[in-house]
Amino acid sequence: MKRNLIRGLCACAGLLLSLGMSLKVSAQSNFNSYTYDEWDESVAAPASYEPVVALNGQQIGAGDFKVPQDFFMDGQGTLYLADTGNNRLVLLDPDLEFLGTIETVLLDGEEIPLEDIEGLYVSEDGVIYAAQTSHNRVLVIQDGTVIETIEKPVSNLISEDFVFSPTKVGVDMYGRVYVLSKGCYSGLLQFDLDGSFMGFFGANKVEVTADVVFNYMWKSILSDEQRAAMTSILPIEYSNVDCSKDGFVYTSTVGTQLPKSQIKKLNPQGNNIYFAVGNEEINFGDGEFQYVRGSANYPSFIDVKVNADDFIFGVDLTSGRIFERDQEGNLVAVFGGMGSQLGTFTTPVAVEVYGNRVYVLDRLKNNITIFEPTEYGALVEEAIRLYSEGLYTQSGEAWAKVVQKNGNSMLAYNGLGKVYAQEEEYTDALQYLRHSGDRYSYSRSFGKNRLVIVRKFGPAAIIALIVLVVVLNVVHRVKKRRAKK
Amino acid sequence: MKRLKKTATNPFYTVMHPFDASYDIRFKGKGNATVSIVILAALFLTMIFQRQSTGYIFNYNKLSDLNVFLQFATAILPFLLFVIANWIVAMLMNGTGRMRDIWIYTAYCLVPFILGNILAVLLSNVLVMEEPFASYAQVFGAGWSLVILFIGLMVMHEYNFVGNVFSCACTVFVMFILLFAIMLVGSLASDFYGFLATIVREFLLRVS
Repeated sequence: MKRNLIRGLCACAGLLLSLGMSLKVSAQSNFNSYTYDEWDESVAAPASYEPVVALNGQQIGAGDFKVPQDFFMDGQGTLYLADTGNNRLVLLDPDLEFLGTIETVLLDGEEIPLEDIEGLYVSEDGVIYAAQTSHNRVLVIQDGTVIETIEKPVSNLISEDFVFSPTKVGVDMYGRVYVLSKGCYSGLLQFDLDGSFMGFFGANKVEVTADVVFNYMWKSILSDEQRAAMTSILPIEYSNVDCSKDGFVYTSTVGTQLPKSQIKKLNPQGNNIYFAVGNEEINFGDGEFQYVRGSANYPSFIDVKVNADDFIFGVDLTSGRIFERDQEGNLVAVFGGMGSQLGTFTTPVAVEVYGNRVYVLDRLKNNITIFEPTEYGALVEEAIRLYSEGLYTQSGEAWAKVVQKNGNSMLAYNGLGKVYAQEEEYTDALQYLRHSGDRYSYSRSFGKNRLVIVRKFGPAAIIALIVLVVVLNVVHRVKKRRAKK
Repeated sequence: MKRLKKTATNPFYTVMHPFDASYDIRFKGKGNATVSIVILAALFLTMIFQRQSTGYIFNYNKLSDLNVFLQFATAILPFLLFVIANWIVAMLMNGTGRMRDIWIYTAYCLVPFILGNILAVLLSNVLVMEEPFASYAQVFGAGWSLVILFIGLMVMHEYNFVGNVFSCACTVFVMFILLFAIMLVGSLASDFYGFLATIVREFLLRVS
């Protein structure tokens, strides 16, 4: 008995030792990197993005940040940080070197402090749009002077008791302003160039969950007074907005019950056009749910950003992960996580991109983390970009390199398959598309391949059939004649 | 060979002549139990064939996750349930069919279903997504099976049409009751096993 115990202890110690050693060797990032297979089960993948550095206000030299809510990187590489708790904007360069602060602005000739800025956007020509939530207005600032304020619009679309408390703001390529107001379920408020209200833009739809169906059933039975006493069903409001260079508006939604369409790409009519092949809604977050005490932890996207190559970055507040997807909803990269180490977050609130770098702002850690793509991550993005530009052969070469680094990459197999399909080498295409689980593309290649086979062997087969029929016929007749004799 | 062709022993005769075949099985003792077992084995193999060999475009199963026992249960359990339930209903509703006859005839009726499925699997390997003919073959086979099953049971139990419809409805109902009973007994048995295991474990701890 005792000997067994000692042996067990030794084994445990050995195991711990070997675990510790292996951890030392393999722990290069502080978070898991993975991708998904055909059945939405996560499989291991090389890291796509690695954290470079995480700096707080003290380290930057701007003094401690206090609950920063948002930041924005303009085209020239100046990072504007809304240091909400300190009532100021902090300006940084792409390496997070301190450039300066903006603490007051001129409004109608008098200096006002920049209180409670929860969201900001900077246009191409350096005009700052700052959402001042508790003051119910958006300040449009140029060279330290407020040139315009956007306040609660007067319109018959907006009721008297509507409270205009803007949290996030976006400006599209035409200069139209999209404002997200707290507690507004009708979508974004869209303002024209001259600041006049154009209407609501792209509201979320009510999610059809079991609760909603049940409520609907009750409401059809109850009287009007009873109905009024019930809670009304409202769509979930947006959490953030970003405008891409080509005129589309991207929105993110927190707290969705159904894991789909958390990130939307709105066209000028305000309709979502971000769908996967076959018009399927895209689940932007994890395919597997983590269950905490029996209830599923659904992804909750708090910010969205589109980079110059049209890759979409979304920050999930629940898992602390940043998801990168392409325009077809394919998962390009996952990085980050919950924790206190480099590259992990407690409450990520905003994401920005500049060049190939990704910046993430953490509200409670009061710091900014910079991520840079690894060789593998850069390769994947390169391959997708080449394919979307129509350079199929080059993208095929890139995908071949990706497969060498990650045999689990469905995306790479899909890319290779599509490239082979483009080059009309259907046998190879079918093999790779099958690995990628893309039945739609597989079916198309299969159909074309079938046609090739039929064209190749069809005439010969028909001739053989005719010959066979004639021969059989002749044999039959000869037999008959012999039988008669 | 020739004699086999024209009698109810041949399942293919049943497929084409359900009235005669059912009468022969019930009243002339022409049914062959061995053939029925062979058909059930074929059903089981067809289910696996369908799961594993349906063309990739139509096959959403994870091929590496094949569980033969589960496949066996999904193939044979509904058959057993149907036979037992129909026999029970026949006893209650003055049906003249015996258990053996119902078993053999139901097994014979599976032939179009099996053939339809095999055809569907073969077709699915040459068709693309926009051509749903594979499922047509499947539906056609299953439909044929159901029709001859209905006719045969009517003849076997000497029911009229309405009586047979009622009997079939009752059979489905009894199948669900049986399923429920099986689940109940199963969970009870597992609880009981757990209880016994706990007692034994406790006992051993005290003794040693």
